[in-house]
Amino acid sequence: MLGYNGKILRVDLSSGRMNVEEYGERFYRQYFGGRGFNAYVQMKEVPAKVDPLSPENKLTISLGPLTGIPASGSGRSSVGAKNPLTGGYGEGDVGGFMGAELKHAGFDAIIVEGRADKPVYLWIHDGEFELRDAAALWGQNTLEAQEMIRAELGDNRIRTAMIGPAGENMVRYACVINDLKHAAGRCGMGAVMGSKNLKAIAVRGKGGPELADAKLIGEYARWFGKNFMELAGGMYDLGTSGGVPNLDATGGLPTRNFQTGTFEYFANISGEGMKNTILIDRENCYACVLRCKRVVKVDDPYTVNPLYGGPEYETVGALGSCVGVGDVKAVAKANELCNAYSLDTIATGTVIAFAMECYEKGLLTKADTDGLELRFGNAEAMLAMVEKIARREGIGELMAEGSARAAKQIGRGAEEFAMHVKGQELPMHEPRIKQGLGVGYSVSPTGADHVHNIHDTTMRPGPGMDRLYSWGIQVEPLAFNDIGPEKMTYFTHAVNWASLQNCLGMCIFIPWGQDRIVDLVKATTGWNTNLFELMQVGERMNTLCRAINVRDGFTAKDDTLPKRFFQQIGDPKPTTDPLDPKEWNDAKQFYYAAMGWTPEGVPTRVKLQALGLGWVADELGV
Amino acid sequence: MKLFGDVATVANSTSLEVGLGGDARLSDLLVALDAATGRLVSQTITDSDGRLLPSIAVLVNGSNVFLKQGLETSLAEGDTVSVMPLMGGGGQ
Repeated sequence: MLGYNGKILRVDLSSGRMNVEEYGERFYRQYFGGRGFNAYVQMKEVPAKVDPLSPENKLTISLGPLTGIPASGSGRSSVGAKNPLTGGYGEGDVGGFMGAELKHAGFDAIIVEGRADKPVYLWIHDGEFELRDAAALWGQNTLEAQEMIRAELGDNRIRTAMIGPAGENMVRYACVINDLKHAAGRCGMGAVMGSKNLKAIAVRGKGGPELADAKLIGEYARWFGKNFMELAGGMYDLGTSGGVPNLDATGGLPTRNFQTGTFEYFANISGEGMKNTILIDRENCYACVLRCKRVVKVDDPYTVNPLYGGPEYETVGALGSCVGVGDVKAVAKANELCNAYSLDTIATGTVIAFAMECYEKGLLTKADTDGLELRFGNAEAMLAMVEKIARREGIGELMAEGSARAAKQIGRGAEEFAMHVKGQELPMHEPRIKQGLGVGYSVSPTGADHVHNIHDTTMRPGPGMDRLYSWGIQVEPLAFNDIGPEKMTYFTHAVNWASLQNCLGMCIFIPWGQDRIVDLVKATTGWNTNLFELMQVGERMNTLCRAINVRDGFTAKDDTLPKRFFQQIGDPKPTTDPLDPKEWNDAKQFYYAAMGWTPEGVPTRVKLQALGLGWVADELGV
Repeated sequence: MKLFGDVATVANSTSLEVGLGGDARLSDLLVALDAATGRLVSQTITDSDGRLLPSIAVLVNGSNVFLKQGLETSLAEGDTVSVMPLMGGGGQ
């Protein structure tokens, strides 16, 4: 097989048994990698309704065919497990170097099952693997733990996927951190790792699979290297938070727990604000020329270690405007703490914003907050909350469960302030300006997500529309608040395409375009593939993830959106507009039907069979 | 002007100089841009009501015009105006 190692490592932590499995080329062409491997394992091997933090859950580290190829954007990998926040399908996708290193160490995925009776870490190098004692690492922050592992194994180039204290304490939105600053952030994958007593996976590899046409991949890599400034220069210069001024101007910058969409200190936390103050460098992921990652340094009044990278857009939103904090140094400190403790910055910020609104509305008092004046804009209280959550101390014990569970316990209407879908906190995109994205939050298999979603505001005249035309949608750019049949047709294809990227191991920030992605898959695997097959891979995996949730008891009723988004935003703009409940429901139903699902959102037997998933129909009993 | 991404594709240019009269504002530049290129480049930058699109960052000498006066931002001779699309997934 070309482009893949053909080997998947299975690690049973309960018995310590490890073995290498070979699934054959047909399996790989059906499930591709990344999300595909995660979803296959969760459907095939993990029983329905299993407690995500029990030994029965399985954690997968999955690479795609494009992970580790020598071209920009190939640093992506995917971590999967049943989701501690939602109870359904879970996945955290991540950049950096770890995925490529694992590919070069000889594996396409790792399946971790069971639970170790004491803390361990997994060491993989050039086809070899062993479990090692992690007693001394347990309780350490990610930086200290990584240094200890590198010293113990005597190699400073070892890459790590790791948890800090938040993962060990099973904070439901703990993430897996790769090399201190690349987060498989969403869906609580770090909590699952912690539940298994697995502190880290350390990898070193110098080999890797043969590529079908390395020359073509090299040509494409050089093309992007030569043209990236023209194609995507803003991402290099200002990073992902370059658009903060635009969001603020149009009312789409989630502020004070989504009560408003404009923030008086937006300029401080924007990419430009960061560039003019604390930015000291830009960094890349494996083989990437774009360097959208920030590196920041702060000495006063906080110290922020540049080894932990710097905040990207979701973080300046969640731990900035969403909690009302306009001090970029405080945001950078919160980002550093989240990376040290392994917390998802999105959920951490959204949960703290929830707690702040509860406090301001009188549902929580100082007696509940350990004396903290938990008001929007109080940076010290925000930083104290990050610490408390990671350690499950005081109010952190409740907030570590996520806003949905915390709201239930607080009661008295607190649910209205919990910004989540299916238990997973919202990322920093406002559904009252991007309404198609709002529908996407509702129907996403992982709970609210912004990556396997559309961004309505990117529709504009020009070549960007070519993708729509090629999908058979001949329209002028549609309004941001349009969620009619044409927008939802676009949505259906675009979400399948995004699902494909999570299978391929390719970053969505590299504007390869559809044709070059097809060429890259061909040049990697040697398969005579085409856009039709790849779109179907994306659709297959979206449907498989849906089926996993259906088996866990999810119905159309769980495809919700917080009530807030059906009401007028606090600071209306010509660009913002509450969602209309009927239009939103119609859009959901359109999507189900376009995907071949019933009005209850259940994939039909015929659709599953047509996607090569007949075995899943048997599993669901449809 | 420096143009990036699909704006550059529509304009068929990544870099061009545009002459404007005195007291020019950004909105004047967009009109002149269409005239200079013979293409409807401004359509990729503003919506049908003439507002700047949220998915496009317009920078004057490296600073986002939303930090200034938007389309009313004054321009002086020698200013560098960069127009760059923002990408999905992050901030846009």
